Amino acid sequence: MKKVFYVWQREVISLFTSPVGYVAVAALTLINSFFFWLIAKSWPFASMQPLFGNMSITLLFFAPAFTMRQLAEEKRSGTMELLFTAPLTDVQVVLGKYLGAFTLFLFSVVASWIYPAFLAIYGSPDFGPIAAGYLGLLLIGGCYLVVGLFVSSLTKNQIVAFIGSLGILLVIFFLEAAIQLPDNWMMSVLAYLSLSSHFMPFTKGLIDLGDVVFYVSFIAFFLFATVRSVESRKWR
Amino acid sequence: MLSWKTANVGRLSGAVGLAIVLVSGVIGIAQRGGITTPVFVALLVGLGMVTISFFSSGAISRRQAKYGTNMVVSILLFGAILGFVNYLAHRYPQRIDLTRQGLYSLSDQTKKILSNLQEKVTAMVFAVPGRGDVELVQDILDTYARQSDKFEVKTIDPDADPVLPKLLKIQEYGTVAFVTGEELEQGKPKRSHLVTQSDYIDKDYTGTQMGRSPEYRFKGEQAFTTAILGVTQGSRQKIYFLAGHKELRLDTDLRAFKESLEAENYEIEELVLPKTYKVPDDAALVIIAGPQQPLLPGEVQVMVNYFKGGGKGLILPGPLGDPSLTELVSEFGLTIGDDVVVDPYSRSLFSPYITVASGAAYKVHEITEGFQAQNVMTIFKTARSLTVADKTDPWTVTSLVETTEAAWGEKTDTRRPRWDKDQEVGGSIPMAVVVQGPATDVPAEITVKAQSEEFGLDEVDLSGVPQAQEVPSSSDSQGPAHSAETKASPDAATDGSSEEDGANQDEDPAAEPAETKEADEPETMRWADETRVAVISTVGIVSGEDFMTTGNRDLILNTIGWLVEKKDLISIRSKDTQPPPLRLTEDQKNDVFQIAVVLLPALILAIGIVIWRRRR
Repeated sequence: MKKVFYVWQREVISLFTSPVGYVAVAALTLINSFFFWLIAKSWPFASMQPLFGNMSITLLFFAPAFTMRQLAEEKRSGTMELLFTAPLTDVQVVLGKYLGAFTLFLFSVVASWIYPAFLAIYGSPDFGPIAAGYLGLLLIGGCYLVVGLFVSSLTKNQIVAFIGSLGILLVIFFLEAAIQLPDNWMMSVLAYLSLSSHFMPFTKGLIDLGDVVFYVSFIAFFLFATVRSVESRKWR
Repeated sequence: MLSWKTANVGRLSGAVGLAIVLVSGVIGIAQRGGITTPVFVALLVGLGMVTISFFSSGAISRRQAKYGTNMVVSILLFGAILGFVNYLAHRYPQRIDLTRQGLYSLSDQTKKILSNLQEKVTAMVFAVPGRGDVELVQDILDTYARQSDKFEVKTIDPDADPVLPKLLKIQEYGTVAFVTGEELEQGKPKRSHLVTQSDYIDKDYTGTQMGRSPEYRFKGEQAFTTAILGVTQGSRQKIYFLAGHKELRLDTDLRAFKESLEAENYEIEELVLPKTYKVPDDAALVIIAGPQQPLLPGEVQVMVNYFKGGGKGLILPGPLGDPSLTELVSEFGLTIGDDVVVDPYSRSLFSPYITVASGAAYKVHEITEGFQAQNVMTIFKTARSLTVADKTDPWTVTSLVETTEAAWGEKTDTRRPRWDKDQEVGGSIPMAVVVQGPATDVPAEITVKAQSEEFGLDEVDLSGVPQAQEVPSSSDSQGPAHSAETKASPDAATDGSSEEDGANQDEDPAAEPAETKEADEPETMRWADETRVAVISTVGIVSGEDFMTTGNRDLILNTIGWLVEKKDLISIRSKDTQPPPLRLTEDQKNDVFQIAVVLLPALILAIGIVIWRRRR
């Protein structure tokens, strides 16, 4: 775990000392704040339910930016080999990098706490759904990042990593909307794999064990796939 | 080095596989309902052939193929394990409801009812997919389904699948049908109960005139659990329509009305009194819908006794004057005018003889609760005036709907009606009233010569007349206090048309043996303690298109629900569907914009720039 921490520390320093991370978080916050302002001025309720929906979609476009350079850039610049000659396992490297990207994402989430603060100042919001919504946001954000990391492990090109992970995320996110009413088991399975359908209950204040298990499984699956993808350098 | 044959087989396999993938993919996209099992299998076969082609092409070495396969298999295996974990989480659902008022949590009553379900209940939500108006309904019903294996939820798009809505008589989007029985797909469900949006959401528009949003309260759990009890435990209540006097026909004029009642789980049957001589024991309600011929005096007496003994009735006079109905309602202190109501302030654009009731026309009663707030509009075509006597003891008469003060009952047929003060009633005229009162002791078994003659029989046992619950045994009921002779005589004596009407009864000779048999076996019946009769000024309220398109349906179904004392079997508090309010002033909106939209992102950017510059 200590070695994971070292990798995470390296990632965080790298992300927070370059302007790219700040620009991404500032842009994400700007968009989220704009939606919050629009909703607050036109929707007369002290709730973050519609904003969470917007935030989950906005984040879908930014998460690939958080992860696109993590492995792709290491490959391109040749630092990948240096990293793997250190006394670290592939799992530790992947976990450390993932947690690094997650920390940057967490920074943007903390910045968004200003919205419930406004609601508390001007109204009397129900904090239960807000807390559940943030949990859902962390989980779905975790899914976006892991897909980004996985795609980043497949290529040396950051742009390819960005577009590839965005494409995959868009398809998985909107799977349920495309299927609407599943009428056979395959459609039901595909609808179940949709990221958005598991997110909505959180925004309503519901924490469903099934949804949490789905997101954790999703993250675990892509982390595993990323580790195997990184390992593949040994025999490719 | 691959042989020529192997390479060709590989190429062929790749081409065929690719074609299969493309064709099955196109079929999967084109066919309604998405990818079916055969298409899925074809896709797998196609992909397998493409993979074989890839491996046989020599693009990768044996070592790479070995490790690659190992990688793919390990990922698939890990995915399968995670899939199983997800299955378990889905199979044994656990949920935490963090909403302040427990919006998605079920009451103990509902949980108990669901855990005791003996047969499968399916809730069908008829809604267009993607529309948010039934989202809460689906969420709550999903919670029901989590509670019991015997409860299932289906969402049906009425536009895509019009057969089921027709079968279940669904009239509006957002309706939830609770059905039992396995034979649904082959035909009619064993039992069904419809819950419409107005049943599960209370809408209050009173604040909208002051610029506030309408308020919604969700009472879905009470409505749904009651519906489940209705389809699993409750027996269907029977409503009889009086027939034999050229009333509006059930299958044509009153078709929509009949279907609505059936959808509410009532059983409908016609009642021909000269055949039965009594109101059947299982009658929850008798409806008299616009008779064009007068009721026979004996029928009037049976109906009066039925009502007085705790019976329930809905009387809907037709546009033509009918003295027998007037006689019937006079027992309760009411008069049905031989006229047509004209209300210049709430008349229809199309005719002065159509009154459109809304707003303040509705009086305070549980039947009309929420009508004012929800801007419900009811239409009364060619309504006859109702007049309530000054003294109605022992009956309590309550007005449900009234005209404005400017209305009157027009007696002459004219295109330009005017109020004749001397001849016509005027002022605020009740359009719908309900009568309530304690059931009186009516003998369980009476033999009334006068009444029998009206039916064309000399000695007939009118055992069907109602009795109160406290009625003594049949031998005791012969006492002088409520002798049928004394009760019936004045009515029979005052009716001058008895002989004339009596002649008509010869048309049904088959009735005699049946009634003779009943005379040997006098029946004793249990009636409710309270008489409830509703009189609505026109049968037009339940006929034609207006019944479905206006508030007429709500008024009538609410009235019938009140008459048969159909109450919710359980009581569960309703919940606010809306989040807490937030009303920002212009200054506050500006503050939010400046701090959240301008300052916060700028601050993050500034931190980034400072750190970047320091590092440089």
